[in-house]
Amino acid sequence: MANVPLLELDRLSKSFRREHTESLILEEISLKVADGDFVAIVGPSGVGKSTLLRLMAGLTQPTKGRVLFEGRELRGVNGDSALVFQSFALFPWLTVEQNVRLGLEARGIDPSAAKSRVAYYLDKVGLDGHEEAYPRELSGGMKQRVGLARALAVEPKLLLMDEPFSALDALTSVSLREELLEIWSDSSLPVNTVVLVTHLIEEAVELADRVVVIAGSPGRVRDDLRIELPRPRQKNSAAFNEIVDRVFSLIV
Amino acid sequence: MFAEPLPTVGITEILGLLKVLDDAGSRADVYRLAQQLQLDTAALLPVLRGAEMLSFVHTPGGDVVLQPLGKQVVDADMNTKKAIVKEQMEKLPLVRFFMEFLSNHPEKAVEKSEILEELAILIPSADPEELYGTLLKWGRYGEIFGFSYDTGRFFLNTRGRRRRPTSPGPSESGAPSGSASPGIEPPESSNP
Ligand SMILES: Nc1ncnc2c1ncn2[C@@H]1O[C@H](COP(=O)(O)OP(=O)(O)O)[C@@H](O)[C@H]1O
Ligand SMILES: [Mg+2]
Repeated sequence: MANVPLLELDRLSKSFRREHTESLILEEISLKVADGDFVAIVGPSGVGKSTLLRLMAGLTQPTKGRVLFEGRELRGVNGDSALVFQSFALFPWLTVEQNVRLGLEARGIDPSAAKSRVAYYLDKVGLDGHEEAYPRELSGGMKQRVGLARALAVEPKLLLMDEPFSALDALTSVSLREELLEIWSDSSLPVNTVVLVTHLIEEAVELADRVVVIAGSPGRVRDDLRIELPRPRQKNSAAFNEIVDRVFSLIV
Repeated sequence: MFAEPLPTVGITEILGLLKVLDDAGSRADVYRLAQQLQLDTAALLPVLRGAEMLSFVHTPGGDVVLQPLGKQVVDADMNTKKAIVKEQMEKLPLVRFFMEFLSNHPEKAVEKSEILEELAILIPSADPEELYGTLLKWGRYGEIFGFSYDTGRFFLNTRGRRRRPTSPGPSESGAPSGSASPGIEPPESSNP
């Protein structure tokens, strides 16, 4: 099993039908994500990044090619993955605690186990003290922590994040990126593999082990760079800027 | 009683500022920092003010300088960050006032409107709703105060048991009995 990647996209293509024409969005995407990897997918808006993430989650099916999870072809929703969205997607009529717990009961976890699990993950994302708050009482950063706790609480093997910090102000996103790295590197947590979609190159280079560049129309893998910079990464260093420039040149 | 108003800013942004400062070598020019963050200087001011009230930075001249405690926060894990913020908040006169105010109530909770009235008396120059909003945000982060929309009451967080860990290891949450302490024990995994 050691050589089987956690996730593999095998010559995957996706097209959408618009009125009477098929338009090809992604073409021949092949990609392997190993257990423990932090992969960032970057590319211009509209290139198909969100679609790619939905394919990994099994929320939409490929037109051609296959998605393999732990070596098995994925048919239907990927129950070992959890998604975090840019828009938070919280239920406004539920408290923080209830929003995180909801997903668990849907997965058949009994109420008392769910309760302690929710408390555990609220603590992990720094939301202790916010249990009884409603989403409208929270800042964007706090809402996104709820989204993250909800994803973590299902204890997925793969955490999928779609532009999770794009709706936040600069300082809030600085904090949340750091917290995400802390969670990713916390070996006591079940999830240690992350695929994060972003259009911010600096964010990708700061966070990921690998940056996969999707570009063109239809979108193809333009490059797949391993980021060897030691952590914590010095955002203003020459080595950092060099990689950012290189990725930038691949996109434009 | 003299109490300074809390600036209208969240703790998350303050922590972000500390990280940015640390990356910039502990010191930055406020104007340039605002430019770098693509923020209006006026929007950065409450963040600086908040960080300074908590003793995480100093702002000599037009600069902002990370203080040793601020650096400690940057390097700390999440729960230690929270514990330090809580410690610092508990030194603020306004926070102390409401901690005491609520402790004197048998239920450790009052209607939100009572807090607004107190705020209007304590700091007549500030908008009480805005100040209340920040007091609650900071209070929730530091696990000092909370508010239940369902009861309409602002309360003292008596679960508040977080202490800065003295030794490395999982942050303790002081519930003494082993079995019923949901904050510390890893839940059983349901993954087969
Ligand atoms: N369900 C859908 N039906 C039709 N077209 C879609 C659908 N989802 C996405 N698209 C189209 O696919 C392209 C890529 O979209 P998306 O994956 O959201 O890109 P990105 O996340 O990179 O901005 C866009 O042109 C979009 O309009
Ligand atoms: Mg998208």
